[in-house]
Amino acid sequence: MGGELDPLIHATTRLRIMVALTTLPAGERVTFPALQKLLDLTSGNLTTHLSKLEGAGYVSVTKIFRRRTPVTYLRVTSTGRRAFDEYRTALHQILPPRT
Amino acid sequence: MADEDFTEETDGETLTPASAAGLISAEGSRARRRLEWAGRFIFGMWGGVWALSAIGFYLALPRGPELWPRTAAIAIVSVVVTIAFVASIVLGVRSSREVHGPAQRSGAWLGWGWLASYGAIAVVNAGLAGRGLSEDTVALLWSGTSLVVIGILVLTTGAHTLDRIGYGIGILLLCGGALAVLVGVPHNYLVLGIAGGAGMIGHAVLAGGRAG
Repeated sequence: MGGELDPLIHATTRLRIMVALTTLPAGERVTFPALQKLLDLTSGNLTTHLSKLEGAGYVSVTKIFRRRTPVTYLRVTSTGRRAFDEYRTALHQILPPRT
Repeated sequence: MADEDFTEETDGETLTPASAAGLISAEGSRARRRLEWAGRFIFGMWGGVWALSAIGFYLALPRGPELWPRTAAIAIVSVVVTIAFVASIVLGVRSSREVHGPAQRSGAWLGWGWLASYGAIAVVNAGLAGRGLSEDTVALLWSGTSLVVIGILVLTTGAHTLDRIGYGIGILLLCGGALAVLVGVPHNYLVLGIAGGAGMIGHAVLAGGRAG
C-alpha cells in the first residue's frame, strides 16, 4: 500500500464494520441483526456499506434458511482481513510515533 | 505525511488517521466485550454456583459450623445448579444463533466435555463409595477429583489457546485439588469452594479485562 489508506475502509461506518468482523476468529460469521445491534446502525445504512465491502471482496454475505426463516450471515474474507491489516499498517506509518 | 492529507468525510463525520486509530481500538474492545460476554458469563456463573455449593455444604457439616441442616444445603444446591444449567443452555443457544463458526463449535464441544467429565467423575466416585469407603474418604475423593478435573480442563484449554492466565489458573486448581485432600474433612469443602469458585470467577473476570 506504500502508506496509502484504503478508501473503502477509511470511512467511519465501514471501518467500524471491518473492526467488528475482524474481531471474530477466522471462519466465524455473525448474523445481520447481531451486527446491526452491535454497531447500532439502521438496516439500510448497514446494507449500503456492506454492499461496498462485499463488492470489493472484503466481506462475504451468505443467506440461508433456518426452519423456513431467512438468515443472513456475514464474515470477513481472507482478502478483507489482509486489506484491514494493510490499512492498520498504513495508519501506523502515517501517525507520528507515540512519545 | 500530514494527518489531514487522509482526512475523509463520510456519514457527516470527519475521519482523520488519529481518529481512525482511536476508533479501531475502542470499537475492537467494544465488539470483543459484546460478542464474547456469554461464554465468560456462563463460566463465571458456574464459578459462583461451585463456591456457593461447596461453602453451603461446609456450613451444614456437623463437624463444621453446622449453621443449617444438610438437607437444606442439598435443596439449595439442587435449585441453583438447575437454574445455572438452564441458563447455560439458553445463553449458549442464543449466542450460537448470533455468531456461528469453528470457534463457537469448539466452545460447545468443550461445554459438553465438561458435562461428560463430571458425569464420569460422578459414576467413578459413586462406584468407589459403594465399595465400603468411609464417609470422610468419599468427601475427600469428591473434593480432590472435582478440582483436579476442572484444573485439567482449564489447563489444557489454556495450553491449546496459548492463554497464560487460563494455564496458570489450571495449575492453581490442580494445587487446590491436592490441598483439599491434604487438609482433610471438614476444611476440604472450604478449599473446594474457594479454590474452584475463585479460579472460575477469576478466569472469567480476567478474560473480560483482556477483552477490553
